[in-house]
Amino acid sequence: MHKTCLFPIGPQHPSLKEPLFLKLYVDGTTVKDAVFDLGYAHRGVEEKLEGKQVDTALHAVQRTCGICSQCHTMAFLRTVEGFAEVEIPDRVALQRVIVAELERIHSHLLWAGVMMHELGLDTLFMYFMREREKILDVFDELTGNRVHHSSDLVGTSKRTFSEENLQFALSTLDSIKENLISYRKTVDSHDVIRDRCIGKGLITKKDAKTFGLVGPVARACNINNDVRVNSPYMGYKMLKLNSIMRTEGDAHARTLVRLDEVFESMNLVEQACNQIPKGSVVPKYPVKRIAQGYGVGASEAPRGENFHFVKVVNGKTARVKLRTPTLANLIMFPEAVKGADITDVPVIVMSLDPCISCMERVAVVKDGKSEVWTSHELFKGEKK
Amino acid sequence: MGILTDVLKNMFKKPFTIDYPKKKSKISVHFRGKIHVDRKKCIGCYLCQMNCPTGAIVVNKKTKKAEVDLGLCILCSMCAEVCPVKCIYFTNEYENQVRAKNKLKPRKR
Repeated sequence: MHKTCLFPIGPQHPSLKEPLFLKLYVDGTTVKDAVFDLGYAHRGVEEKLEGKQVDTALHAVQRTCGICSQCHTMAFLRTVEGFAEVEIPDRVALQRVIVAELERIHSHLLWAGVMMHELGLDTLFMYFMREREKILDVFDELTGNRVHHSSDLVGTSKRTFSEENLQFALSTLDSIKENLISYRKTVDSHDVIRDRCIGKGLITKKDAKTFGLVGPVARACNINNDVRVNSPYMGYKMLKLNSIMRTEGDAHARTLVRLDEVFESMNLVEQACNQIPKGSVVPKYPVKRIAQGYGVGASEAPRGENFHFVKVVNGKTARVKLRTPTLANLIMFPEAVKGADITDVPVIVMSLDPCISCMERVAVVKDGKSEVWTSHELFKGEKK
Repeated sequence: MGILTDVLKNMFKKPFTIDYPKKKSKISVHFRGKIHVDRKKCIGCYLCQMNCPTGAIVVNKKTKKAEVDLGLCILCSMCAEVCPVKCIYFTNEYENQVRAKNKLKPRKR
């Protein structure tokens, strides 16, 4: 009978991009048990969003994530425009979709680059980053900002995308498409990638359903949970899209699902650019002032379903609750690394695509020990 | 084999990166750089202050003109959107780093 010993990774570690404390209980080099400790990147996003006007809160909510800021916009606007019954014209709906899909491409390329870096293939990392850079230039041209786009307002957008802007986006996508096809072929056939990914971090379909996983992680286990397909919103109602699914459920399947989604997103951008009504302009701001109401809404972020609850009282936000996709997938992290070799842990964790600082909502640390607080105690601000 | 042809191709291409401080990258005309307030036009209506997500822009009570704390501004352009006289606009300056903190025009908090 061997005794397990603790092998800590983090909170600060070269293989982690964000602070996360991984406690691995190992026997030899096999992981027997794993515990994830959070609370190192708490920023108080929800508190910051209270007591703001709706449009102002929209700009603050985008700053939750540096990679998927448009998806937070989409979820927030879907909620607010839903309960306030604001109708948006086709142009605005499609413009939002173009930005969101370009963002999905950039997010997946960034992820693929970092994944290849974890596998030790730094050449591919550089290649993926080079293609991603061109997408950022498109954002610059379309919205005015490379990372936090802030291109939308309630019921309208800030600027009308001109015909040249759309042509620039399409030509950029055309220029990177050929390279991406060859990279995908490499990922599918390269021996190092296949050896280190196939069968690693296996999640069964049953587990994925029980734990309620979202996004590409669930789609790699053959579960169709794409919000864009199941409950289309905004411009997605006008576009045709297929959800990419695979049956294997391992790290390699998750890699391929994400890379295939890049091509699907390119297809969507192309469709949206062709469907934008020519000569139309976005409505003048403000379309409608929102005074009262509450509702929920979801959007498909690059990592999965992004859920928002918004309550507005007297024209100011009283409560905004965000559930980012990593929170839904986090429960699977310890299960996925159990039984794996310790050298595979960075690859498995990366294949689940964690975005830790978007997800952290509460951190209670007292005298170096963490405590569990109920919601009532948190509201009062003191523990009984 | 695919990588080898790529390597040979790239040997005869220009570098993808640019020699930054000497050469500057092209930026879009719509790019939101450093924020600028036209003090002559400003009427001190407080709309920008009410709509700022971070509290970066505040109307000075004495001069009745809007002032921006550049360290807090997140370049969301909400103030420019609500301004009735359009006196707030974004320049194309993207090199906003400073050596001294007081160049960001911080407010006493």
